[in-house]
Amino acid sequence: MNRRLTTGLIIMAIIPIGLLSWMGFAGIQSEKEHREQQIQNLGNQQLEIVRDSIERVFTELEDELDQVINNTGTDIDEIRILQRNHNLIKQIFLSDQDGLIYPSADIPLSRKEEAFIARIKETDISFNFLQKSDTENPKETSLQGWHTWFMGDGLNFIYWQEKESSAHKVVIEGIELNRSALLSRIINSLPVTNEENSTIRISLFDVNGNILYQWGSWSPANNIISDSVMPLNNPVSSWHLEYFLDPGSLNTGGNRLFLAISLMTMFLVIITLSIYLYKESTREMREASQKVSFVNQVSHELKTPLTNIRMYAELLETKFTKEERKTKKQLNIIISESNRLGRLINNVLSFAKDQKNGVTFNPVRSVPDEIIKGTLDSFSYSFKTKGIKLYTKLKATKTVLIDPDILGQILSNLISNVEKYAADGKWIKVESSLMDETFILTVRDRGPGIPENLKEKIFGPFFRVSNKLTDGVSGTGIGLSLVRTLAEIHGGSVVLLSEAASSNVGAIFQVRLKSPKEGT
Amino acid sequence: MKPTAISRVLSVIFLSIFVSALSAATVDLEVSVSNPYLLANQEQSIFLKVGLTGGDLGEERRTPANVSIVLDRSGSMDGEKMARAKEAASIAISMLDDRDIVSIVTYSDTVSVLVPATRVSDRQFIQRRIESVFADGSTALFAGVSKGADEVSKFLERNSVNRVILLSDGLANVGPDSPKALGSLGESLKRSGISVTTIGLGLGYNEDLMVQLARRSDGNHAFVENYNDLTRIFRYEFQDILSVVAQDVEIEINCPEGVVPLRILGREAEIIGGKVYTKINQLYSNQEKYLLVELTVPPNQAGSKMNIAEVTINYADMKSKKSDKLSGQTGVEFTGSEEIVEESVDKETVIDAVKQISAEVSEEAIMLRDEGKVGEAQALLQENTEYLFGAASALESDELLILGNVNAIDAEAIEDDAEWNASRKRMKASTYEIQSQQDYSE
Repeated sequence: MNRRLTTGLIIMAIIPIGLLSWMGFAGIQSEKEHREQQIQNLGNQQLEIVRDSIERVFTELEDELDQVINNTGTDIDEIRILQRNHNLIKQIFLSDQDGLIYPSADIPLSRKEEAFIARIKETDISFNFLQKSDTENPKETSLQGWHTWFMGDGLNFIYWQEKESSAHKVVIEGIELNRSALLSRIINSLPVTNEENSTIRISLFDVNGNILYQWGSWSPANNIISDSVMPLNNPVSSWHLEYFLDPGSLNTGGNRLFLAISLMTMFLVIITLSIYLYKESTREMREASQKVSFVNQVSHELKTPLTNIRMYAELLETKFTKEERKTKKQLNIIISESNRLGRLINNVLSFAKDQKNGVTFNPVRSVPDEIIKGTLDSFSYSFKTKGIKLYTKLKATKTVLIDPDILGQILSNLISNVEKYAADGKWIKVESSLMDETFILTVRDRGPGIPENLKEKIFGPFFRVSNKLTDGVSGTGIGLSLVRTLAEIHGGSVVLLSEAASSNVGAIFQVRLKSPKEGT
Repeated sequence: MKPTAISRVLSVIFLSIFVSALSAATVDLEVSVSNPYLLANQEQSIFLKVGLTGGDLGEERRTPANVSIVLDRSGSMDGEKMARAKEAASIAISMLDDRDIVSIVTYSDTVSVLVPATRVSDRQFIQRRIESVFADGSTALFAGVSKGADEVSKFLERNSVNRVILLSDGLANVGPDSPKALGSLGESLKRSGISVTTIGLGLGYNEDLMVQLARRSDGNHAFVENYNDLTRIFRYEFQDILSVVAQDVEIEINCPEGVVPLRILGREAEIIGGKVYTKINQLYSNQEKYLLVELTVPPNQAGSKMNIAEVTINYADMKSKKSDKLSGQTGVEFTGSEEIVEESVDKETVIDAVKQISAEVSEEAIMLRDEGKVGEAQALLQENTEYLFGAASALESDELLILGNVNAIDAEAIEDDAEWNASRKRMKASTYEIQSQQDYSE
């Protein structure tokens, strides 16, 4: 009983805990996926802003350079002053389809100008963008743009614009930019690390995967893959942006902690509840067993004076003469009632013992019918008063190993039931027989019978068939339960025979008791 | 301090008093040649010196500063270095007042603007911010300088000294990291009127990068091996900044037909045919900055005179807050007498030329040493030592004598592998000091 309760409680605790854990795990998994998606969206949004601000740098730069080109003539001195002083310009050049007009070796050049010519030759810039002007409608195409190429340790930039164009000649003015100055300008358009970007890192990479600039306090390890990547547009389409988010931010830690705490709390609640329930039930059981032992003790205490009463009443009975018939009758009532009380006490004691698995089995060599007769004798008076006619068919006359107390108690209980519930039938038949080692006892009555569906339930402890007839009849409800227990202790059984149920007249109880093999 | 330098400074002071009494000029232009007399009938090369000396503005009228202190706070700065750097920055702040604008930028993996460009009125706030800096991470030097310059640009003004002061102890490892890339950045900043002073701390930084950045932006450079010297260097730098008298100094030299400018010694300049252009960002009070040009002069008859160069200077006068212009010229006379040629030598110009040539030799020696040619490098420096000692006695110059001794020390040090890192940084810094006429002294 205790073990079953414990197992039940453990199961009761484990199942919800397991369920909670699984739900928590599944929750974390789906939350993780959801969060990854969210982070990527967030990253994309932020990178778009960055990309836009870099694009704006180039748009503003184009305006600035357009102005520079528009404001300078083709006068070389003027161009030289400009390229000496403008903080973004590395070299200005003029070119037509045939090649460089300025700088060209026709005039004295500075070292920088010479270096430019060498650089251009080496770099295989064929000025192919000039060829565009040969197309049919040169006026309609926007004759300006960027030209980038790799040299040294990075990207080099030329911005060019058509300067003059006639039927056969197109002159463009180009500006080679100081790329450090350009990068610096881009960097200065981007944020620095501050409180607003303490959980992220955004990095600007060049084509070789080198970081040009980065910001944000979060410092991802080298092997961490970015949460979002975005390429930039022309003229820096070989550069790209990467976005990293500190996974510890975005409340993830808080969420997990919250989840962990709530799970823990629920575990604790379930475990506490289980322990409480377990304690409660064991307390009830303890109390019940205390009650049983109390009843047990009281019954024992009752038994001794009762035995004395019965003994002396029986002794007295033998001494009465015929004249004292009335007194004898009264004495018989005393005897009969004390017998009944004795049986009741025996039942209570046996039941209580069984609760503790404590009924002892003491088979002795005896004739079953004699035990039956003795028991029936103790009922003779009450049969007489209730007008019940007793029929017997006793054939167990051989000596076998049998526990007389158990047999007596079984029969008493069955007869008591007839007395209590089937007295209206005014008829009882007790049969006995022996088949090999099995003793069979059958008790029939003509009372109201027992419905088929209760055939088994009546053997449960404290069960009473609730109908009009039984209402008002006193009883403990332990009788049949005890009969079954006692029969089982004796290696036998008790059944309510089904023919009785079908005939709907009376009840037939059949008890089988097995004699243990001699010598065992 | 070297006697000749003292006499030079004294003469400059004397001169500036004289000049200011006359014209109240803040800049004194002196155009001279190494040899006023040349031998007739042969092509010769001489040195032309364009010297510019700043006058004295006085504390009351000093030029306001617009400075960004860019601090390397990479992991290697942790400990003593960072403590000294903070101390130095604090001293710098204490030297400024509410006429000045300061910003503080720090960088490691990324850049943070510790103090955005602000007027130096709430010193306590700035000090607290300086105290909050801790060292951690790598070295985004390019971005640090960019953002520092960006802060300066917010209050960029022709009439204040616009400067970024970079303090670094390590190699740039985030963003562009080549001397060339930083040099280009420096050049762009110079054109915007911003100079970058680079201070290399300890033995971990890239001196080529730091010198290039300073050179191209016309800033100062210092090698601080001993961390305790850092506060002193900062003090010099800020004294320098607070003594600027002229800015955006454009120098244009025009040589007549036949006279060919060959090269410029020490400085960045552009030579186109017979014309030389260059720009010096700042002129400091009582300090001479000069441009030395090597020219070839065509043969001429004895007794004839020849104009060698016409020099025009355009600059922003910090005293009048206006643009101003100076011009000067110089010429040579041809003679048949070698004695006259020798006697007439302009010693001061020749001494400067010798110093510049010596600096070039130092650079070459470093290059050879870098290529592993230790012996050749040492021989070159030893030869240079002899040259300097010879010139010192011929020109009676203690300054060259001292330089000769320094060269002798360098010649020995160049073969010491263990000391080479420090030696190289020291040589780079002193070479640049000569080339830029940087004068870090009280």
